[in-house]
Amino acid sequence: MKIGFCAFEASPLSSVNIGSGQIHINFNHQLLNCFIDPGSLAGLKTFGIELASAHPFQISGITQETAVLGIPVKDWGFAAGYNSLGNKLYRETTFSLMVGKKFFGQMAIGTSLSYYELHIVNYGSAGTIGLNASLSYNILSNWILVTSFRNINAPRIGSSGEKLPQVVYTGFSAKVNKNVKIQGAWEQDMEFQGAIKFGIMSNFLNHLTVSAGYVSYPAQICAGLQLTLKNLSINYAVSVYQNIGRMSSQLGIGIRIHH
Amino acid sequence: MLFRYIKILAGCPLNWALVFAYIISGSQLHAQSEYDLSLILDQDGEDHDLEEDISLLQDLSLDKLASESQLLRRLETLSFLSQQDIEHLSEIEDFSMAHRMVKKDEISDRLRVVLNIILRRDHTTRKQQLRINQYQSFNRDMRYKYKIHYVYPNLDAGMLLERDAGETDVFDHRSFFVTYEKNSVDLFLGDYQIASGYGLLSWSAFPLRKGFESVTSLSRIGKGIRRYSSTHESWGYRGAGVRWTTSFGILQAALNSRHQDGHLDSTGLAIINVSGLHTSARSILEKKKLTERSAIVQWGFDKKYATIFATHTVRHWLYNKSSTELEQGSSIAANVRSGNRSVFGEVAVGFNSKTGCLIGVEWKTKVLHYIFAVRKYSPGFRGIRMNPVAEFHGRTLNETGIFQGFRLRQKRNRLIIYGDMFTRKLPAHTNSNVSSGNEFGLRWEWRKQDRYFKVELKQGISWLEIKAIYPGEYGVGLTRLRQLRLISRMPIFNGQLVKMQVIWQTRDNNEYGNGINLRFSWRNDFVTVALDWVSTKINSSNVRIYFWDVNLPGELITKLYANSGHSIGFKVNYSNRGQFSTGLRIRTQWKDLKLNGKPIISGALYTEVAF
Repeated sequence: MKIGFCAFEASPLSSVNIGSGQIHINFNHQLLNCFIDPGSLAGLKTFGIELASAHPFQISGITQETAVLGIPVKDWGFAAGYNSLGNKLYRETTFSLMVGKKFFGQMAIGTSLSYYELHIVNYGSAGTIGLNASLSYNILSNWILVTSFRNINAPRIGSSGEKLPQVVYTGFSAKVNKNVKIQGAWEQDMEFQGAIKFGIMSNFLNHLTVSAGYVSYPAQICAGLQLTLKNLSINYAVSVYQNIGRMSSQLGIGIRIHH
Repeated sequence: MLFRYIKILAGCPLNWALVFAYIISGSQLHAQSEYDLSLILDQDGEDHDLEEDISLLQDLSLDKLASESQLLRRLETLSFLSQQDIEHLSEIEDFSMAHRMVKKDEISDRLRVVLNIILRRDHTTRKQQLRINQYQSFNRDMRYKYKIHYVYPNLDAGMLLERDAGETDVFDHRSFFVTYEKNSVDLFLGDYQIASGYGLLSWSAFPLRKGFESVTSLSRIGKGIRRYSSTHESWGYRGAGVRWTTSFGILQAALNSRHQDGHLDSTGLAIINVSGLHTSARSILEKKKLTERSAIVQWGFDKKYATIFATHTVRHWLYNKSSTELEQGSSIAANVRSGNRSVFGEVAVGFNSKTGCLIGVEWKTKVLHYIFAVRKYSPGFRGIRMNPVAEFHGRTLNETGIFQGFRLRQKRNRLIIYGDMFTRKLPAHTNSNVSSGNEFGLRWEWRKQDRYFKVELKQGISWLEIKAIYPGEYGVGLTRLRQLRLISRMPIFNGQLVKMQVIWQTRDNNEYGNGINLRFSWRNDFVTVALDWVSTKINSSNVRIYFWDVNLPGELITKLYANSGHSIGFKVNYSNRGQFSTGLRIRTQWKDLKLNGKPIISGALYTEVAF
């Protein structure tokens, strides 16, 4: 998970993607990444559930929980997601409905509708709606380009109309060989400095996937690990923030059901 | 039902192609056409923005639906073609005639390049076509642009999504257009622009600048509505329009309602923020606060011997729930041709009943081209989207001027000379009285295929009468600007090109700006590489210099240099035989001749895919 500077800045990602430098591209076909890359649902072939629990900066009491259910329907992929970050006093909750489809064999388009709810004890709650979209296409047989837009509709929350993050992601994922993939991306927040991200993922053992990556801003070194046994996957990732010397971690589990 | 429709569409030979002719013909064509465009349009960087024209040319070169005659007619809307080019185009009915026209000496280089781009397009036809263009540039922040263009028989639709660096919205600028052509009626929905007459009432976003190109372009008459997909956020109209061609003439009508950034001043005059940026507190406050509502009606005819249009516009503004008074403007524009002579001009009564006119004569043969034009814009003249040729541009016009130009063509040599005199009366409350001046230019160029050599000399003088403290006494302020430019381009082994450009500029003998630009370009079947170096020595921003940047396909960007320093640019473009193409450009700039200090690095990336 990525922690930033304002409400709902943290966007769910799978542990493998966190380990690959917080890359937004769903190159490993994991449901947790569909919040940012809903177009990747176009490749969904099986029912699936993925869960994750994260500890931002290892601060006790603050946790992030994420759950996604994915359902393929003919050529379409659908998903419903839940994400919650906070503690007993403060909580950000996101409910998302996501859909993706591939057009003309090579281009995938997806969109997601999210409801954001902010709750502060003894203060109140507020909610708003955000719209995300993503577009991806193969530029070569082993290369994919993805562009994602977060909160296109410029949502605001609360009586003071606080802006939610609006972010653009542009990146690529390339399959170097059967076991290795590389990724690179530029993330541009409308309010803050942009960030360059890059990472590498490898399944050099049949059931084990490792990933490593780097983020330029805020500076982070990332690593991830996933163990896959038939339809079950267990994954773990860490992200070290160099500027503050803190580490965040995430543990996740996923189940796929063939139909 | 929707799923079934999409399946039917997917079964059609829908072709996805992104940007430019090399998608169809490979990188070689792309490199050459991009080259040719940037080089035959090798004019001052201050000359008008060509984004809309380049976009249109790209679309036409990739259009697999339109017939040959439709494509040729659409070429006539390219604003960088002269009136003579338009007349040559009107003589062509199909591509076989175009092939013959390309070989004629009397056509301009611009027209030849444009025709070659169209003639080299893939001639396989499609039932429909969708193209997507993705472009991102990086400096301190990211600017990105997405263009989507869909073509179906008789239907042309497009969308532009753009964000400038520093903007706080994901899509700061959104634009769309739909055009539908059926028999003698053309319908326009969304964003459009209107080029009317000679720009006294309505024109494209940038005026025709006085200069060497004016000799052949000044007499070009605007013929009305066309689609608009430029990133210039405040210029286009938004609404609906129609063009109806009848035996009694061409009738065009359009309605517009769009939000603009700005406010009304104390006199009720709309002050528009044309930058398109919303990064300062004021610009954010003024964002989309004004609503412009207008209507334009135009009637005219366009024949071989004459083009005449009469135009009437009305407009009012809404601001903070209040409405301004209705403004009205009218004009009559004509270009009457007889043999190798023509008379052209426009007379207009603008908003607030101020008058303006531009009248000229032109005489052209294969060897000689002469033009003479007089303009008078009364103080306070305003039009709805005015942009006529003028020395002084602003919210209103106020100028009297005389322009004449001469072009001599002899085998591979061309000599162009132009002169312009202008004057205006400044308001009484200013400290100065009259601003006058003149401008002179001389150009000699020699061309042979890819070889090219050009020498240009320009001089401009302007006077300002300054009121002194005691009544009746005046001082005179004088500014003299001189520029000498040398440009050379030649092929070196295997068709690779090297181009050199040197500029010397002085202002009032104590301000100077000198610059040199060297560019080397290399290409093979898949890769195009360009290396560019610029060095400038400038002691005043009043003598800024412009050089073309290393441009990606679809770009024609010039770079402004206002300080001494060095700059290195690099571009690489890869194309995989039409399946995929990507390009990257990077520029590093030092604002110090000794390369001290941290360099400024900027770049851009584009991608395109053909499915």
